[in-house]
Amino acid sequence: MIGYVARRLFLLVPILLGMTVIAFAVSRAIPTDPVVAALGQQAADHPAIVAAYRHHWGLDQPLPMQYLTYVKNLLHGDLSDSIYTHRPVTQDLRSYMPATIELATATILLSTILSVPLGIVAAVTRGTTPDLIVRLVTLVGVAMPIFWLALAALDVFYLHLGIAPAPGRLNPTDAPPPNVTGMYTVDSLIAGNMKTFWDAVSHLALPALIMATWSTGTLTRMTRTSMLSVLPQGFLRMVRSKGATELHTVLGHAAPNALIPVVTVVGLAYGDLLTGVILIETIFGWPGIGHYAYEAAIYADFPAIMGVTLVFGVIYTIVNLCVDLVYAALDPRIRAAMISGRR
Amino acid sequence: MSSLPAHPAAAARRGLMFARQDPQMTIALAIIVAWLVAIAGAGLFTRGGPIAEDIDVLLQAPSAAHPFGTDQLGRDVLRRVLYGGQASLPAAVVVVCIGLAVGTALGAAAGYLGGAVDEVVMRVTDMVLAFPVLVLAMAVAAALGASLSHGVVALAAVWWPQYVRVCRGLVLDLREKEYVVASRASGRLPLHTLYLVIMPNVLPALLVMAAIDVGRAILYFATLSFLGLGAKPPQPEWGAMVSSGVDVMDQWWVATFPGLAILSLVFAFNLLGDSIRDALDPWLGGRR
Repeated sequence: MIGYVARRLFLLVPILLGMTVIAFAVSRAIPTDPVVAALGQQAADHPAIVAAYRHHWGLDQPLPMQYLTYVKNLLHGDLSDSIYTHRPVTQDLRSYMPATIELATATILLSTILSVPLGIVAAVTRGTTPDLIVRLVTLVGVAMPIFWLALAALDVFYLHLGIAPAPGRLNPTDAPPPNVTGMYTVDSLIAGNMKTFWDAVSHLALPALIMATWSTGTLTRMTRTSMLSVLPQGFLRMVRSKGATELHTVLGHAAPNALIPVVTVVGLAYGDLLTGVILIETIFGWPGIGHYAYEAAIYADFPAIMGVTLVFGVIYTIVNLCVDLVYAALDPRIRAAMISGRR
Repeated sequence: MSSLPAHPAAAARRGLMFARQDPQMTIALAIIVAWLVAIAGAGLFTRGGPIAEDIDVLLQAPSAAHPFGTDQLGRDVLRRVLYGGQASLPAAVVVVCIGLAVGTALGAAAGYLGGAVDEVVMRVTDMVLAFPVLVLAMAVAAALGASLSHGVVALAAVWWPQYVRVCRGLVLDLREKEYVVASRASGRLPLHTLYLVIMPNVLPALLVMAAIDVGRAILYFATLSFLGLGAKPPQPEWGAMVSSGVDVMDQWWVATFPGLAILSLVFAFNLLGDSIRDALDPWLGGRR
């Protein structure tokens, strides 16, 4: 297993390198002058700034050398400066990251809590009303334009009913907790400030719930399908014949086997999540990297766009690697196949 | 079963039988066909163009004259939803078609030729797949500058890898089959074997996959437009229309109807995909 993990980690290197090639290619494919795109029109009018920029990024050299310079700067954590915020993109990303991690974690937790029971119930009651309802709801969920749902939810729960708090991470009257992780829910708990904690949770609830629409739909459907393939298997008849209750048979024996393949879908769901982050953070004024990505795209802030794209790609790749490893760890058959080098 | 029934009544009876056998697919097809008719006939069902403004009827609630109400510029929302489909649906279809064409060509080449071609194609595919779809599409759209056609190009640029994977897998599967080997042994050129013997067996699966995929493409294109990186106002497009409804949240109808349009059409495509999958999957059986 350790050898397998090492091999996968080693294989990560060419993939990450490949991602930098793609990011580099996109940034060189812009129809406008890359210097203007990277510096903004104002700075591009100063010859000294332009010359310094050209030298720093090796723009006076051939394309392969430019790429090497790009990778070298990248390894030093240099993603150039944002035109819009006038700060290094790396610094921007670091300050916006915790809010996104907080939102994404809440979303994954929510959708797992919702989808596993729903999927199991649907599979057990296959073909009857509960199953039909679950299938209809999840099918609507994965077809949902969540930007539209988010607007509707804000309209109803904030503007009209006044149940949900205003967009943002905290009430304006509450000061953010002392910075440890940057996640307000965790930091307020560390500081022992329950009032701020509940305030942060109440601000987190609606965006996380909306964002969970897609992943809940996907995960529920996968849980159901997987349960359906386990339920007719012989070992369950064995369990039942030994006198186990139906509840114990389903939860204690069928579900653990059915949930292993569901793990793989979490990786796919994470891709949807990163998409959702851009939409939901923008609509809910959540100061994370999704919101940052949106502003970068709208203001044609090219260094920021490429930085965010790369970071999103790296997160997605690493999550999928973790999913593969967890999957291998959970299922001995997969582990054997993977270690013997079929993948 | 391609023989046409001789009598219209027989055709209707067969249609009914199919509907009873697979109500799920029937509902899906009905919604899709209804949308196709409504979108294609937008000019017939409504009078005036989608961007005709009328300052006498700004932001009017749904009524007999304007079933879906009017927006900030007095434009009829129903009319704009129908014309909006003329942007959203073809855009999605074009994205899927480009993805299918590029993906199939690369996948077939990788699977059939193997070796270095396979390595290069698959590594590039993996690199593009390593990014979440919308994120990379956003970067490309932002690089090109926002417009409807650039939005399509941006999505198409990230859409093809899934088809490469599937097509390559299918071709690899067939390459060693006896009838393919026989075709090669009988002296056919390798390229002819690929075109005449392998591809006809690969394409049906890919076409089904593409048909189902249109729903996802609609959703992503609307998302791109909502973010301001696809279709631009005043051109009607569903995602862009929802976005313009943000400024007038109290007039709920401005954003609600284009959103419902996206939801219903994407839902229908997903439902269609589900019923096709159920019908083809022997493990889950014909009945659910």
